[in-house]
Amino acid sequence: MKDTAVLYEKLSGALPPDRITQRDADLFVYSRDCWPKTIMWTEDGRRPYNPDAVVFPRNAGEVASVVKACAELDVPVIPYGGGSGVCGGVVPVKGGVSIDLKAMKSLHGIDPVNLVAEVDAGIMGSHIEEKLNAAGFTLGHFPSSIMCSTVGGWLAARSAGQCSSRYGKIEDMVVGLEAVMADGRIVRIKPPLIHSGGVDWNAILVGSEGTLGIITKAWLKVRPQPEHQRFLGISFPSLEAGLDAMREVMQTGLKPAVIRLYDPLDTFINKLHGSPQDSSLSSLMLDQQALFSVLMDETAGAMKLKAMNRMLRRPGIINRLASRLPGAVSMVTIFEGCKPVADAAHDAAVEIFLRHKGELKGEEPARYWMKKRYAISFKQMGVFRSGSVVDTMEVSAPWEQVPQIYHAVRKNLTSLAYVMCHFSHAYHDGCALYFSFATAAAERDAMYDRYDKVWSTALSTVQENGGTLSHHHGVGLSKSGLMLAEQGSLLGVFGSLKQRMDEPGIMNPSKLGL
Amino acid sequence: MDTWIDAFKEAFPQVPLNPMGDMPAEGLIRLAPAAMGNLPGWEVTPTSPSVVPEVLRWMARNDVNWCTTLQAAVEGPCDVYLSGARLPRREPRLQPKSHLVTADTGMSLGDLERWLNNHELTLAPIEASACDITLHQAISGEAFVEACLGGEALRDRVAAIGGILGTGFPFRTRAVPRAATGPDFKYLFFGNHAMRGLMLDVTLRAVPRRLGSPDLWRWLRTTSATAAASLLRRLAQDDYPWIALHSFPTDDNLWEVRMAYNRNHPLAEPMMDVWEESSELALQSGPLTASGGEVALPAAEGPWQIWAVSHASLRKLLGRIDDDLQINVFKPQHDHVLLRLCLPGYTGDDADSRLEEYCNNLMARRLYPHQAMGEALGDQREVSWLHDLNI
Repeated sequence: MKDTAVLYEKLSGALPPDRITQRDADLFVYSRDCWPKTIMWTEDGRRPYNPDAVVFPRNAGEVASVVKACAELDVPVIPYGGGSGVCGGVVPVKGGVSIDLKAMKSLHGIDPVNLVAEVDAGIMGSHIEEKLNAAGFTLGHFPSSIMCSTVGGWLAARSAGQCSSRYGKIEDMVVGLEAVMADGRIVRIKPPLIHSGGVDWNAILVGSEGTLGIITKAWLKVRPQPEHQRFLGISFPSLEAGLDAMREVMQTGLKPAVIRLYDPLDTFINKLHGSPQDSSLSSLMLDQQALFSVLMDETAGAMKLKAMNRMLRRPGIINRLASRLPGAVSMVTIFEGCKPVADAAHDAAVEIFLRHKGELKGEEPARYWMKKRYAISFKQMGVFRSGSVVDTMEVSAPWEQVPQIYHAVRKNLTSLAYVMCHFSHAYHDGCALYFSFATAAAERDAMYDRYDKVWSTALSTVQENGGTLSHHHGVGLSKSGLMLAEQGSLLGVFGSLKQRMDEPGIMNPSKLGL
Repeated sequence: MDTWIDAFKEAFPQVPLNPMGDMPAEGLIRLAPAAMGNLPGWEVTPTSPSVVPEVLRWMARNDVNWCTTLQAAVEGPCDVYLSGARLPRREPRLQPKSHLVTADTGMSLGDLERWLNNHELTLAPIEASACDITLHQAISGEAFVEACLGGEALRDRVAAIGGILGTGFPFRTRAVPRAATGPDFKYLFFGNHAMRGLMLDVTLRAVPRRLGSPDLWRWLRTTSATAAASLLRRLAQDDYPWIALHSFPTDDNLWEVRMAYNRNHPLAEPMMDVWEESSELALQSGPLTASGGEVALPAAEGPWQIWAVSHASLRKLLGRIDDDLQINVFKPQHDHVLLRLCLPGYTGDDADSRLEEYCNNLMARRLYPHQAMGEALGDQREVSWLHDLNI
């Protein structure tokens, strides 16, 4: 966009002036999200992409007016929620107008019979959960970003919460959607609860990351707040035993709210991290890993961070040492719901764990995980300031492929990054592998190269071994280049679909491989 | 005379291309004789999966319109009918750990179910009358299968599909659980009568078939169908692993909710063995498959029944039932609700007592939001536990 004054004038016809900004500080904020590369850009003072304006509509009609105005000027629009995405999904690659939806933050109502809530897309995750809780309900969606992400962001990127094995991912909760299309039309998809015939447009809009339309409202399934919870920590002699137990739990039809398995390295490091309650196990279950917790501790001294940076430049040493660790792994489970069902499911799961040589460790590990589950996502900056980088990669695969993906990724990243993994979001037919990695390089440019190399190596390894690019972070900009390998000829279908639905070609361009 | 015929025969001498009238009655004519006037004049029969892409690419290049289902044929215009019933049907491939089975869409639901049973797996309770339809018919004409699988659409079991786009290019979605890699493109092909492409194979999630695990049945008596429906809804919303619901009348104007749960295994056990040969219990598929969200239940000539095999589908069904209740679809002389429950992880008396405790707890605390339910179940004297019914 060359003439920002013309853009401002046009937007002024759609919104009051106090809800349009072109201040440089604001444009900077909306030029990035939490994709580690954008954090590196920030640390280095780089701003490769900037929006031309940021707007704050308060309802779908205002969003539609903005989109129409932008279509007339051929200016891209980028929906913006909490900015917590980690794939660059809101980076304004071709400039344009970032549409911050957080002023649309109402819970419009709850249908207590069919258990459906009508919510604005801009409402923050923790806020919607608090409102639902006040009425005796829960959405059951608890991403680690819940305090800084929105319902619209969840829907755009197919988010998963920590309790997805019981409540499903966000796409499983969608009953209907309202969205603003590229021509300014407001469409509502509110099908009956039972659906048959024709395209389910919810399934097309969810996950489209703003490339087809801007989701402004959703009808989501809610559940009564669980009356009862059962917590348990388990230790298994090997990763394979843990995975087999996890699979059997899911294929038996049990629905744990939480079932998370930590690989040997993760288990070992967490033991080192320690816990006041139980030095053997109860410290294991931080949402991300304890070593990263140490890395990310903002109170860590400069010397410590510098030493860590030097160590991370040679990850091969750490990884080789890690491969000699004992094979024991740890798991936490939480079953919840009405008491008889939660108790019965918990007890049935225990039988499975014992059959797979699991050693029961009591409630404390799972309770500790619950307490700390949001504790780590806000402590990354110290690592980046030390010149290192930390990132996470969440992929999923059928059960057959899970072990081979795990071993192949670890092997192929040995010389590139320190890496560990946990397994969560388990389903009947597979589960997610959540890799955490950290790396560093002596020179800043080399750091970017290494970061890109880690990602391209890891993702191509996953794809070659039968996994998918992403389980719940989405594609955004960071994985866009691999979408052809992921979708094959369907990427062309997606392109055709986008051409029809976004004739002006303004909806969040350059994302999802388009 | 269509000009493309000779060219096609020259390009694909090995692929049978016959006048439509020559095709054996495979359902098309039998189902819709009135539509015959609109049907395409020719039928092509794929002889192997490998030839289909070439055929469809050729048709795309030569502007020949093809269709695979009755609906698409009638809506036309179509030049050639590509028989879904004759699509390839090779031996299915199984990923045993993930319970994922990949089958050609020319295979029938019944054949696939039998194949799965041989591997100690099952797809779902499949009504006997649905066993002959192919996977392609089932998925591209999704509504029918929604009935076949007892209220759960077949799409809920589809992990991936592969096939040919209208342009002739092959496509394949990936059988990975819950990917976050853009829209779920499978949904472009479900229920669309192959208007966007032809599905040649499908990967489905099967579930273990638990043999030799008898079910335990209980009856819960309520005073109205509304109360029974509310009970079912509440059970579903509490994630009770029930299996199916049906309907039964009683003579004394009470409603009986029939419950059963599996003695030996926490998995919700499909009901195929119980129901598949029972025409009396067959679902009348029409009422529940109306598109556009409108329910059009026919005049009840006898009891109508509902099947469902998952919590999600129960929720869906109960949402629909609630709507129906407002227009008085439940008719006391015909309609009843039967709930089959499966209690996780417990056996025998233990399961019995837990289930009873659960229901009593619900009633004692008057958790039911529905007024009728409160009236029906507020007084526990109206609830009685009857003896096991082994069927």
